[in-house]
Amino acid sequence: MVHALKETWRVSGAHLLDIRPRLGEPQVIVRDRDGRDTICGGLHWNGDDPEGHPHAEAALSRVVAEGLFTVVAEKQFDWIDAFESVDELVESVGEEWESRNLGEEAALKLMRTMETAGRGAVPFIRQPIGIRLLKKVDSALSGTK
Amino acid sequence: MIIQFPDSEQLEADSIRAITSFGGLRVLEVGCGDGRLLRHYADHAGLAVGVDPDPDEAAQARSDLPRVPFALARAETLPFPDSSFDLVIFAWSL
Repeated sequence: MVHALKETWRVSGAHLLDIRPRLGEPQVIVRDRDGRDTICGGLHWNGDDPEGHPHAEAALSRVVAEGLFTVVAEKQFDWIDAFESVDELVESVGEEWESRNLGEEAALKLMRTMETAGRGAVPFIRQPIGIRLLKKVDSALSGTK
Repeated sequence: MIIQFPDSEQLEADSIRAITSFGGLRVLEVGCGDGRLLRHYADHAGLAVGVDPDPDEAAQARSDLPRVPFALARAETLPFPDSSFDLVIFAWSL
């Protein structure tokens, strides 16, 4: 990843934009028809690699420390996937989240919360996404590859 | 009351625009996949180019965005000259 970022430094004349999920589990939540949210649990990591893109974060920190880029702006937003039913949410997690699963405890709480919330309640997954704008440092010339 | 959520793709595009502009810029998106994000800014950029190592993703992107150039390449070996873009984007791909 450091090599990819150094290659980016080469082809970029000015800026790098990095968009990535923040560390931590995406949360499974139920919103009732009055707009109240109940957090039911997180999507647990079950991938082979360490959770949360630590290699990407480390690589980015390294090229900043080496003086290739400097962070000039950051922003965060929540990516929300809403579903019509618990079944649809569970199916989506199984099909689209390769390295995460919904634990038994969270699944039970999700079903109970949906029953309690009644008609009009919506289950959804919320994942914080970070956006970072970095400026290329032109003076970092030699010894970078 | 019907619960409405913000469109996450639109929110992502708006959040990006809040910290940078695409107007007239030469933009490269590395690991662009099927061009999901590219379609939000391609019309605003001076030049938008996508690269991805997956031929199926690149084919989908080419089909959806016929006016955008795409290249099959890995992030470690980008087939472009030095300083050929104003902005390089890694969207969920670093």
